[in-house]
Amino acid sequence: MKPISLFQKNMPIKAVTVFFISNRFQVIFFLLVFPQYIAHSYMIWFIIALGILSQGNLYILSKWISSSYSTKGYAGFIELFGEWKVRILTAVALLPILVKLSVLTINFVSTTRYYIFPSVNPSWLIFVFLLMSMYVAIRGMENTIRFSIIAFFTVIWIILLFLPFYFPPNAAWINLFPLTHSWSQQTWKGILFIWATLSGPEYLICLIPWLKQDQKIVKYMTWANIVTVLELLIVLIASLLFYGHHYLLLIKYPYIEMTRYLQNPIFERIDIVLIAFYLFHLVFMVSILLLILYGAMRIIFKKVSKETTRKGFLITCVITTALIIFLNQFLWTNERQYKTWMNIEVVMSGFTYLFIPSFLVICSKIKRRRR
Amino acid sequence: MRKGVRTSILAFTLICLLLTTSCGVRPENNLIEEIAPVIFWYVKKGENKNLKISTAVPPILKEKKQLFSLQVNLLKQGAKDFNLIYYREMKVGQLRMIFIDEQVAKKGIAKIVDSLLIDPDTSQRLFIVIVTGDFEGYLKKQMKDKENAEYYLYRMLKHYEDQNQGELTPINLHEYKKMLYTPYTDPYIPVFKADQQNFSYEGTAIFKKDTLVKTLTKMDDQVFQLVGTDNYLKYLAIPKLSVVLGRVHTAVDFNLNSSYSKLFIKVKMMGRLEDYQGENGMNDKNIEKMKSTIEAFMEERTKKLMKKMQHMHTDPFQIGTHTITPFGKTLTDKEWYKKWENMDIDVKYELQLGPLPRESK
Repeated sequence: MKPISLFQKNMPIKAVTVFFISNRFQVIFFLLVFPQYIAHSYMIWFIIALGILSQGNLYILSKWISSSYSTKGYAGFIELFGEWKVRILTAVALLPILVKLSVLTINFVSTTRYYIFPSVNPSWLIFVFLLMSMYVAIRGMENTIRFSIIAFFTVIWIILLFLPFYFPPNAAWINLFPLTHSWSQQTWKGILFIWATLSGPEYLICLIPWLKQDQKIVKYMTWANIVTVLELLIVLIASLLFYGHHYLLLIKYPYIEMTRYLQNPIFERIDIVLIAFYLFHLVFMVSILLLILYGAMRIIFKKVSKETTRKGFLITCVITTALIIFLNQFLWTNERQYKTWMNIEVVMSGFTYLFIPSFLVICSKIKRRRR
Repeated sequence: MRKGVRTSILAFTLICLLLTTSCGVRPENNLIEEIAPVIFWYVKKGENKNLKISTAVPPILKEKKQLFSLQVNLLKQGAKDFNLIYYREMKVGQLRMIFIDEQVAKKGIAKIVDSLLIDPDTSQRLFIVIVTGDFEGYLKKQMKDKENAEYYLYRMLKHYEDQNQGELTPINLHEYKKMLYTPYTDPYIPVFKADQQNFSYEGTAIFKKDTLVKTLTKMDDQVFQLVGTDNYLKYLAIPKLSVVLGRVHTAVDFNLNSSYSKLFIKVKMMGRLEDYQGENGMNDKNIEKMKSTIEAFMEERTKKLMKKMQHMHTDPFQIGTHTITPFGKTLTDKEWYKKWENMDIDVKYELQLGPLPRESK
């Protein structure tokens, strides 16, 4: 059998792809869950404020990306930390990656199950879903990164469907008021959630070696960030106008329920069509994460210098699938556990986004000074 | 060899995809010959605390129609029991209307509506209608005489929803729920009266939270449509003054004073004279006089209606929403209702009549 080369670099990918990857990584979380503590109109201000803050963080991230360590890829990390430390750090990083992977998969599968296949076994859906992602991932890192463009364009137009909700009789402007609120624990949760939604670009750290070196990367990340903030605002305001704050709290998937309310002479169930489109987005996310996971495994087991093998990748995938099915069956069975997992994911992705870029930049600064 | 593996993975993925879409893995069977997609439920009070729910099957197929009724404890239990007595499986994906008997509505309908809301198969555009009288009798008679009677009922509701015309205001599940769960607002639903021959519009049912407290009919209903909803009235009939106004549009302005003890309602009403059977001739002077009589009459009726609403502690006019400002604190639901019940109300109408088609003498 000819060996497969998952991580081969044939042709550097244009830097504009950063925009697609970064933006899709950011919005995904919000699309799947619309948490109840963000269903207030005063959250509009926080989305804007955190969007600006996130921009600062992206600037730090771009500092790392343009540094000499980053462009060297794995060798750069070895140079910076030493092999042992890299292995330990990678092992630690497995946790957020696995949690992200499981939360995304299980959330998407349970949404699909609720709307389309209510009587199908969830394990089966998880299996099929991961199989699709595996198929994309096995094409190699380069192709998967390029898939982000498809993922972006299959989903972005959906935002247009929310425009009818800005006009009467669907909308009532009074629903948007009052725009202020007293500070409470809910506010903190909302802020944390919005920050977690804006997280995601930190995964670019793993993808930099495949991208063409370009000074414009920071520009593309900025645009991605702006589009994300706009998307969040459009959806949040539309749902507030349509439902009003009090009723919105009772709706679990307003994002899908709202599109369902639109009338179409051809498809009655617009929600089903939309979920099928979101599948592209999800498959892209999960396939990238699977490849990153496989890369991490290779670092931990000291296989970096060897060829990538089909067997190794499949083992990684099988373990992941088994883990997710196990989680879904035993640790994701009721509403309380669901909330716990969501909180874990929110805290973890918020944490990684906030600290990893600064951590890397500080480490490289210290290293350079010691020299 | 490598190609072989790749092809087999692709083939396997495709097979799995196909399996999830139709056959295998316990999906739902939707063969059109074997199912009956019902388009309405009728919920009525049954014997000893039960509900009696009815529907007509098959809905569209050219087959003899039947009206099925069942005594059940729960709404969705009915969906199950229907399957057991009928050779087709009932599907609720096409459910378009739910008719609720007035007696049930007086006990509260939140639970019925909630159970519909949970089901992802049920569209949020499901119309809710309150009926009084013998609706079953009407349906049975109609089924004998013509095809698809229930479908035409649906078309009627849809017609008035699209035209936004105040003859009646159809309310769907989403709108009802929104009114129910938003503070300071109480829902309203159209009421129909059925007997063996007719299915006629009665008025608007006013709710206090989820229980029916009052049905507005005739003049009260017209006032409600003008002041409480965004609709326009095609005809505003005032028999007492022997006058009919046509195409009546209103612009309503609710003004609350800062302590919420006084409410000013200013209604600007635009329309044209459609019919006048009075004794006075139609010259300019008389028309001016008539205008002020109509204004005074409408003011009195509106004031009376508002008093009634205050008395029943309900606010279907959603006046409370006018207390909300972009910045600042809002009242709680309870605080508002307390203020609402003791509010002084002042109503002012301003009628604009379009030009008459002929020269007045």
